[in-house]
Amino acid sequence: MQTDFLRQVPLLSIASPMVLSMVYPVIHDRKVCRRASLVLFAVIAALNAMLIGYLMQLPAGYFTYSAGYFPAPWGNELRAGLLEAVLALGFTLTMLFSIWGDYHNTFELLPKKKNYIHYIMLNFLLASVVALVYTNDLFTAYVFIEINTITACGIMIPKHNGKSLASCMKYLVMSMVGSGLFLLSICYIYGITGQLLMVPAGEAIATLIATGQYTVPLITSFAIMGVAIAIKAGLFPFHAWFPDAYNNAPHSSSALLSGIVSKAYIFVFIKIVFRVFGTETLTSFNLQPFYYTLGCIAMLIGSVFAFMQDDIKKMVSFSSVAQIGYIFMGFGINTKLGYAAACFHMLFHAFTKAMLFVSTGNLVTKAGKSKISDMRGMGYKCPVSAVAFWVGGLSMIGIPLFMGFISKLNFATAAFTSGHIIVLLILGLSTCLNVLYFIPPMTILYSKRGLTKEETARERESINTSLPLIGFIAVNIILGIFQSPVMNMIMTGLNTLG
Amino acid sequence: MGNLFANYYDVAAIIIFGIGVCLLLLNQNMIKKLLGFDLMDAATFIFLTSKGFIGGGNRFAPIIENGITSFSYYSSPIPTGLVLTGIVVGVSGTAFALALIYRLYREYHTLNLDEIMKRIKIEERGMKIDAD
Repeated sequence: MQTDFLRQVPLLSIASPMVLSMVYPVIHDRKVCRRASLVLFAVIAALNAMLIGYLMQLPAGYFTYSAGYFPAPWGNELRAGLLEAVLALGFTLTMLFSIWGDYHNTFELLPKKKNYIHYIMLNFLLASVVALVYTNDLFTAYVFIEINTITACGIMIPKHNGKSLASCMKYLVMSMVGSGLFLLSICYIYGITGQLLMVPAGEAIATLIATGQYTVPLITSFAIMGVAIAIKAGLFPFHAWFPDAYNNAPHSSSALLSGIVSKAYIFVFIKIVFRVFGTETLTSFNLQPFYYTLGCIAMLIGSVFAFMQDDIKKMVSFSSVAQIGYIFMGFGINTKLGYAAACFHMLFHAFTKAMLFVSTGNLVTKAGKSKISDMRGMGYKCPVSAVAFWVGGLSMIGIPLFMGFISKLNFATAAFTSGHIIVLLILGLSTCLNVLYFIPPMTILYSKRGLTKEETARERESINTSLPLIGFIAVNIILGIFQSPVMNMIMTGLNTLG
Repeated sequence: MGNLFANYYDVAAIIIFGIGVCLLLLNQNMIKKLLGFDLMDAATFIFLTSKGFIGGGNRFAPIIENGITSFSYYSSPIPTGLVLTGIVVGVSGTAFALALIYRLYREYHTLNLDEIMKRIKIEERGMKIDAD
C-alpha cells in the first residue's frame, strides 16, 4: 500500500519544484524557465486532483506517509486527507493561473539579466505552501514557514525599485517576529511533551490536560502560537505592512502573496489546533473570543480603509485585510461549520483575490496609471480583464451565482447555528462596505463620459492574458453553482483532520 | 518564585528573546534590527537546547565515549539536532535580510528605515503633483 504511486504525490509535489528549480541557473533562459514552471504547476495540480479521487475511495479517508518508512514518533510524516488535497489543488491552480496571466508585467518589464531567480523563488514558494498543507510534523512546519517567508519576500522585489525594497523590509521584519514566536511555541510544546509529530504531541497534551499538569506552559504556548500566526497572516492589529507590501510588488506576486502565502499559515494553525491542542482547548483556555473579536474588527476596518483609497491596487490590497478577518472570525466560531466556512473562504479568497490582482495589473499596465479615476473606459481596451474584475467584485460582494455568496452563506449559517448573532450584523455591514468600494471601479471601467471615440474603441487581449483569467472566472462560477461536492469534501476532510 | 530560579535557563532565554524582539521592532537602524533578529533566534536556541539537559550529575554530553552506547548514560541529543536546523534557517534569513539592506543602502544611502519611508512619501507626493 505504501508503494501505491498516488501515495507519493504529497512528497512529489513538495520535492519536484525544488529539484526543477535547481536546474534553472544552468538553463539561464527565462522563457524556458517560465514554461517549465507552468508545466510543472499544471502537472502538480493534476496529480493532486488524482489524489482527491484516490482519497475518496479509501475507507479511512486519509493516509499517513512516513518518510523513509521510519515509524512514528521517530520519523517525519506527511498526512494527506481530503481537505489537504483540496487546498493543495486550489493553491496550485491559483499559482498556475497567476503566473500564466502576468506575462506582460512580470516577464517583459523586469530586468533581463537574472530573471530566472524569480522563477526559482516561485517554485520554492509552491513547494513550501504545499508542504505546509501536507505536513504532520511541528518542526517541519517551522522550517517551511521560514522558507515561505523568505521566498514570499523574494518574489516581492524583482523590480529592485526603492519602494518595493522598503515595503519588503517592513514585511520581513514583521514576518521574522512571527516566525520567532512560532519557534518559541514549538520549543515549549517539545519541552512539555517531548514529541515533535503532531498526533503523538496531541495525545501527550490530552493526557496533560486530563491530569491538570503544566497548565501555564500549555496556555502560554497556545497563546504565543496564536499571536505568531495572527502576525504572519495579517490579522487586525498586525495588518499594517501588508497593504504596502501587496501594493508595491509585481502584480502576480501580489496575487500570490495575498492568495496563498497567508492561507498556508492559517491552515497550519488550524491543523495544530485540531491535532495538537484539540478544539475544546480553544474554549477552555478562553482564547476563542480573541480571534472572533479581532476577526470582526478586521472585517470592518479593512473595508473602511479600502473605501478610502483612490488607487485601485491599494484598494484591492486593503480588501485582503478584511477577508483575512472573515477567515479568523470563522475560526473563532469554533464549530465544525465555522471551520468549514473558514476553509472554503481560504479557497475562495485564493482564487478571487488572485484574479482581482491579475486583472487589476492588466488594467494598470494598459492605462499606465493606477488611480480609480484613470480606469475610465478601460473596459473597452482590456475586455477579459474587465470582465474578470467584475466577476471578482461581484464575488467579493456576495452576489449569488459566484463563490463569494456560498462563502458568506456558510459564515452566516455557522454564526446563526452557534448563537453568535452579532456576527450576522457585522457580515451585513461589511457586505455593504464591500459594495461601496467595489461598485465605483466596476462602473467606471465601462463609462464613456468625457472620452473620445478612439479612447473607447474596443481592443482585444492576447491569448496569454485571456486564458488564465477565463480559468479563474470558470472556477469562480462553477464553484459558485456546484458548491456541494467541494463543501462535502471539506466537511469530510475536517472530520479526519484531527 | 522558586520555579523561576529552578528554570534559570528558560528565564534567561526569554529575557534575551524580549530584548531581541524590542530591537527588531523598535530600533530604526536596519543593521540593529538584524542583530535583534539574530538575538531572538539565539535565545530560542538556548531555550531549546536546555530542554535536552537531564540533571542529576551522572549524565554526559551525547557523544559516545568508551564505547558506552546505553542511552541512560547521556543527555538527550535530539534538541541539539533541532537547533542545528534552526541555526541554518536563521542564517538563511539573515543572509536574505543583509542582501535587502545592502540594496536599500545603495538606493537611499541611509540605514535608517524611518528616513527611507519619509523619502518615499516625498517621492510619491512629488509624483502626485506631477500627475495632477
